[in-house]
Amino acid sequence: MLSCRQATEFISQALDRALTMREHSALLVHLAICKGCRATSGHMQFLRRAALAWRGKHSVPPPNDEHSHGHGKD
Amino acid sequence: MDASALHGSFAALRPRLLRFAKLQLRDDAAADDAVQEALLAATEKAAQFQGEAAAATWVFAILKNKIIDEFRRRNREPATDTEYEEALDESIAAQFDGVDHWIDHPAAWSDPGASLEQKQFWEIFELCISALPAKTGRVFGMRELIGLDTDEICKELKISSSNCWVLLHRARLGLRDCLSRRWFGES
Repeated sequence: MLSCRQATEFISQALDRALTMREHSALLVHLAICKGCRATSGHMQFLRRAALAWRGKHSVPPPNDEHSHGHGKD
Repeated sequence: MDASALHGSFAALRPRLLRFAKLQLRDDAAADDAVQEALLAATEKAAQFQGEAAAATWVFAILKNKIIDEFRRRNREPATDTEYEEALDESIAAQFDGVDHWIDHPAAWSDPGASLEQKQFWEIFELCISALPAKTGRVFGMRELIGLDTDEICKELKISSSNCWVLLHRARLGLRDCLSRRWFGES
């Protein structure tokens, strides 16, 4: 059984690498019973979304950037 | 592009470049230098650009490389911001109990997407990122603000993947806590 802290490690790492099947299922089992970690998963996904929006505001995405949102300024 | 059109387009771009560099470098002089160098390098390539968008993309690409160069240089210096590290340690320690379960279960943020439209949210977002310890903030910036993958970050900063994941996890726990307290109004 994962601790909440370990669950947040997997939640975070899922934003940076593909979790193994074992890690992924352990995380799902934990999330099913832990409201705090479900909220944290939402928080961390929102951090990614906010960072992408920040980049969109302050930067110009490279052409063909699959993560780009919207269109350029021209 | 001709020189005067390029000059105008770069002048318009400058504030965005500066803001982009400042949040990551946390040092106005270093940000100024990086932007200046990026603009200079791009000016030398002026003839190659087909229009403003291409020029802007090019300048940002150069600026990102300048920021990464500066990160690489700083990474060789010993960390001096122990109070930031301690503050992050405390923030994380206050979230988990002795068996690594939540002390206070985090609650879902209500309608976080709406925050993205609010100017004040971005001030808090930047404030929270600036409060991260330098090394943690560098890795977070390279991952989330520049958009490198962890392999590239490990290579640039000569750290292991697991170290990189640990730093990103700490950054996200810290930012989660900071935004909860300062923006989403949890106690």
